[in-house]
Amino acid sequence: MISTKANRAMQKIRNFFEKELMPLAETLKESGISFLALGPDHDADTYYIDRHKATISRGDFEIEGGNCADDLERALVDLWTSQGYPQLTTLAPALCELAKICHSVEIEQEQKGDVSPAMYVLF
Amino acid sequence: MSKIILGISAFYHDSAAAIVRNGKIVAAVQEERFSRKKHDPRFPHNAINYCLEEAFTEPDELDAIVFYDDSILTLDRVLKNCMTSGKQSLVQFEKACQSVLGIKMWLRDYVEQTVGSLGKLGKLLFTEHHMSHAASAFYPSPFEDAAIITLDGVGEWATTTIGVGRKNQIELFKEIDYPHSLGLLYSAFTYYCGFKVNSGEYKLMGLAPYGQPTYYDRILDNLIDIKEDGSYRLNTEYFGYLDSLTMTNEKFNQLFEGLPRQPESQITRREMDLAASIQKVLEELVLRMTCYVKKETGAKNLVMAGGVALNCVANGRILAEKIFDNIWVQPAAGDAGGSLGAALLVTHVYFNIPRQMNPNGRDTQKGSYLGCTYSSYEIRALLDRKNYPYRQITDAKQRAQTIAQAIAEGEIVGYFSGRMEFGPRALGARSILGDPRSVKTQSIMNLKVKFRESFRPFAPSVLVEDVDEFFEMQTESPYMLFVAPVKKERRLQMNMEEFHKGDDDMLAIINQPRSDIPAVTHLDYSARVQTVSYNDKPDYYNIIKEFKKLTGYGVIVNTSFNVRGEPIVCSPQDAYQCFMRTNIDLLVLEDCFLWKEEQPEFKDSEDWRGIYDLD
Repeated sequence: MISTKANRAMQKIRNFFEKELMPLAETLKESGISFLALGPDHDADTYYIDRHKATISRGDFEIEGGNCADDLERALVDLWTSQGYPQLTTLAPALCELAKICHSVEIEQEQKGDVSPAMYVLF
Repeated sequence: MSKIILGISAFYHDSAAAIVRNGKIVAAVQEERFSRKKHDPRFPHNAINYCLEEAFTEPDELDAIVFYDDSILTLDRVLKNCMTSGKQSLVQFEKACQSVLGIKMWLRDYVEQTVGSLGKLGKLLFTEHHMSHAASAFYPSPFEDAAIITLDGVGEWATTTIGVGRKNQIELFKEIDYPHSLGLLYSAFTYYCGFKVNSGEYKLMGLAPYGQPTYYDRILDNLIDIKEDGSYRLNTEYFGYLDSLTMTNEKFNQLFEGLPRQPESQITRREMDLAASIQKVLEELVLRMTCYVKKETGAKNLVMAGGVALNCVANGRILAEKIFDNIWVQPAAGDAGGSLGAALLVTHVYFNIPRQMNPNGRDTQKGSYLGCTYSSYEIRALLDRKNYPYRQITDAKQRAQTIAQAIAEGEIVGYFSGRMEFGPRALGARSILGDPRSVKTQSIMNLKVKFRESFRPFAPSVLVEDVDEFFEMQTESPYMLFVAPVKKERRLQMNMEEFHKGDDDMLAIINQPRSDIPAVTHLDYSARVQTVSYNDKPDYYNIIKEFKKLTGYGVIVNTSFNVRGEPIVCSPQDAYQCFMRTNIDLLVLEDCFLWKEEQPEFKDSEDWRGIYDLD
């Protein structure tokens, strides 16, 4: 049975998706920004891409936001700014909020002793 | 100064923990072995506890705790994927939010609650998913320098990376990113053929020799474009994983003229041909990629990891083509191995501890016997308490002789000895053993012991010095990660006429002898070889040696000690339960021997067939 809390969380996710994520996606598409190559390019010689950073150094192990969901907002803002997508940074506060809501649902699920189906998805 | 590092992989599939002291692997284990839930994705608290115990370490004594991937970049991919796919990706976004935002972002809380400490650093470290794979392949390998290939479904963004390892340093210079993924392509066919994604890929590979690659051109013309250098891109119009919860979509169905096979329904020639076709595509792509990596790096050695590196048929092709002088594949090549790779990476890069090679020229994976063990004393205490009849054989030679005799007489033996294996393959520590000479062994073991599909082949464990007596293979394969042909002179002609005419009855050909070791000879005369050396596992080596004295054959059947859908047994209790639920004749728990006919009636409190989800 799905709890009230889970229902509320799902509603928040849908609201975010419909009212923030999709409108921004449309705007970016219209301005010619695309994130994924969706099919072959027969003119290309190779599909390998050069990695941003070929080697790893000591500082790379210390990821901002990885240690605490409270740092998530700053980590996302930094990431998208560094990638050249400042438009995405407007999503960061709502994502932090969603993280807290989704986690509280997850805790409830764990207390029931179930394995959350959310753990075993493609992502 | 001594550094002890705990590596964790979790929240996707096959959660695991590994602990490394000064670069030496102390322990590594998958959570599923303790929780008894196959591919358990949950935070691996049992595995962590075991690792800490094995290392005699308290949590606050850990120099670092490291997670095997970067959840922020995963979230970045999820969002961009949904923004690209549009409104139809809502269902996927809902799931991804629960998984990534609700779980992965809270890793520190999970560690603090479960482990009770973040170690001496007071914070978690993170690596990149494919760096973890690369590290798991390179650092334990026997090579000072090697080319590296990692291939899996998806990490954060990367699905394929290539590079080199030199002493302490790993350099990954090229990659292919999501949504283009050889692992996801193979998983799409796994799903379409009615098997479970992330576990049924092995079945698809085993099914391939039954079919003809009749869909090969169709796949290349429509689904994937492969360049000369082995780089590739998928045509994502045919796949469901971008905007739904299934791997394939209606367009894929139209391309292959039908709906996906329903799980557990009869396997038809169509699935066999699809399996043969995608396997051929995968092998050719991997071969091209391997040639490119050789050209780019000039390396003599190759190491591999990532789930696709468990495709031992493709690995066997690379070996046979002799593109590299030597190849080493991480036995826990999937996500479980990421825990080990992450811990080694922190050791050698973060703490700059020099990598130490094994002085005898072998790898440092310790035969992958990195899990828990139980003493004879503990086992006898259990058996006495439960009043299970057993005979203790303390003499090692007599033990090996008794087991070999039982196998030679056609009995099936459950063998539980020493430290449990890390990775998906049983290598003689948690194994079911049988006689490879019997034509009936394959179907008996599949249907009456493992309760799994009859077409699935079994693997041989062969004395390392005898490998080229049975197989066209000159190298060691201690981790069962390479397929090799059975020697031509051992093969028997099969009658395939009816089958090739369209008869889908696989049992009719399974029961035909294919060689003088039919139980381990697949339909295409191949075998997934495990070479066994005395140094790696003397007790197991001695059993095969004794079997050879009795029969002239230095080879036995080895399959994992479990039934379908069950994780490989971990404890003596698990082993006894599996023994009593199946047609295993003899159970060996270290030096305690239990014969089935002497055991009291086993009363199952539950229908065990309902406990494990079918894999």
